[in-house]
Amino acid sequence: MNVKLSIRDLFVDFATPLGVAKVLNGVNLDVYQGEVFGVVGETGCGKSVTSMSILRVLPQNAYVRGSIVFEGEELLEKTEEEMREIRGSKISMVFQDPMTSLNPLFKIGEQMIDVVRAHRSVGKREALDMISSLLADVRLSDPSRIVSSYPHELSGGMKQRVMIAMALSLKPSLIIADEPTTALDVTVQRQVLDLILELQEKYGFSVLLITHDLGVVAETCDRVGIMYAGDVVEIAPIEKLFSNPLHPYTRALLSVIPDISGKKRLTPLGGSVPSLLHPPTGCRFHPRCRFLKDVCRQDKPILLEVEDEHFVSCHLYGGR
Amino acid sequence: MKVIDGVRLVMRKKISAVAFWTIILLVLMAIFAPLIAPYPQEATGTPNLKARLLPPSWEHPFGTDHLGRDVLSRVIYGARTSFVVGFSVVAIALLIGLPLGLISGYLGGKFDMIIMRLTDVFLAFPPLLLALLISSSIGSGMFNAILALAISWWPWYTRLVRGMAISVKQRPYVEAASCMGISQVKIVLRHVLPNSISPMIVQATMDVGSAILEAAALSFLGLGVQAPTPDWGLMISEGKNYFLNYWWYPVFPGIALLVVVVSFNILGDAVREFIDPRLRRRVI
Repeated sequence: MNVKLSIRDLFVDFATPLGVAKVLNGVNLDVYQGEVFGVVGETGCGKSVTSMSILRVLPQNAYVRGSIVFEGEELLEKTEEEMREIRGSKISMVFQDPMTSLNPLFKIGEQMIDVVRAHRSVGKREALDMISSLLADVRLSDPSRIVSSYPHELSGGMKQRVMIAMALSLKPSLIIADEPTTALDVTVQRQVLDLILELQEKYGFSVLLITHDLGVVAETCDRVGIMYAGDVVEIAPIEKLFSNPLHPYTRALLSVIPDISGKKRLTPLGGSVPSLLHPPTGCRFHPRCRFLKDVCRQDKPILLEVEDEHFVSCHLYGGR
Repeated sequence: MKVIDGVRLVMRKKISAVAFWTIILLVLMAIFAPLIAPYPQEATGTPNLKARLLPPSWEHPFGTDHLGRDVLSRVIYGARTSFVVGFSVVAIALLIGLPLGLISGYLGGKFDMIIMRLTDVFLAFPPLLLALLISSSIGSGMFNAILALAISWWPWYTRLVRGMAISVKQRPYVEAASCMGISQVKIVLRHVLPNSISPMIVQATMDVGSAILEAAALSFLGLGVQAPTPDWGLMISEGKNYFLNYWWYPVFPGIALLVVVVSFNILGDAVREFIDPRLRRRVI
């Protein structure tokens, strides 16, 4: 498999008035060429921070260590101007809240033209032509009307389509979708996900899909990484994750998906997400783990490939 | 279209319509002063000692001053000075304050710290006192008065726009723009500036009136415009000595000043109502 994006031992610390928050604790993951890779985890587990580190748009109080290799090039060593050229043209992003992701004062067309012209020296007319075909791609029926609309004149679903068109405008090879459907109605969610998959098939880009919704993951992803408190605890192809979850946290997550028959009792996971200012030593999951061993308190488990393409970071499965 | 909508909205409320037309009228009056004033030569200084301190009459509706000059003509010419001073002070203060505040709020960090401490220094003085200090050290005259007022004025705009810029830069569309590879300069000009400017427009509108008032205060204290230039503050200052026996001399320029300042305040309020949609509903 061709690796598009490879994150190795990514640590991100935030300097806060209360101390240093150790938000990412050595994240490792690969995104292959042409796949949809899902990142799942609770709020605050570092999903969005991971995506922001890839684009290097973290706030100024963030300290980043590790390695992010995209198409064979180390992103963390790029200059700001080189990164600016990559953002939007090679790696693009679709955002969580389409309602507020467009500037309310400018027409859709102007904002899309801005993105195109930030990367290509084309005239406005030419940029407009590129945009119109993109809007047709995302199934917006009347491109010329959309182009001259203000954001408040469009519905949430339409705005998210516009955002997707914008993300696609320079034919990126990786799209980061940060909870692209969270702010949308369930029916619209489905349409937007289908659209992303359809476009992915058409253009062959890779998708890093960030979500907290296992349902979304099951429907769209090829492989999934489960995150907990700044660690990637398990990575597996989608069928393996659901049929044979290995990490205790993954199992706990899957056991709280309600069964449609209503007969299965849900077994909630005790405790809550640890403070990242004072994260637990060793394995960050150990205070909530049912299979706690002494070693879990001292050593951080490494991500091991326990079966083909199935990685887990847990002392139950060997390692240190 | 938007400007026309705005004018229409201002018109809906009677009082703001009155203020709006008053300002338009006064500006026209200032522009066409030589055509309107009954005694244009007297307005700019030529004394007429035979007609000293005459009470209001058909010949001199506002009376005459201690040098026999027609007060009405001088009030009309005084509008020129006032508007020039009012608009230039605000324009210069905006020119300095707006970009500094915008960059300060957007960049944050050390640059912000330095600019904010600098504004603190200026804001520590009462505005008129600072303007007095500056104009007494660089000398009197209209141009120096404008400069002195603008120097004591810009930090208010810097503060205001900085606060807006800080809140706007955290909005998702600004983050989205930077994730799409839009350059920082473009982000500031296209996203941060247009979305932070509305409170500035309100403030600037109101401030034209205040700047006129403060310029008049400087003239009153002898540090602004110098005689024989027709200026309301200066006329009030000279007229105060004659107030008890010849009330019309200081009163008419005083009324002119009052009308202008109040009109700008009402207009500023109307602009605020137009910009803030929550207030707009009440107007309509």
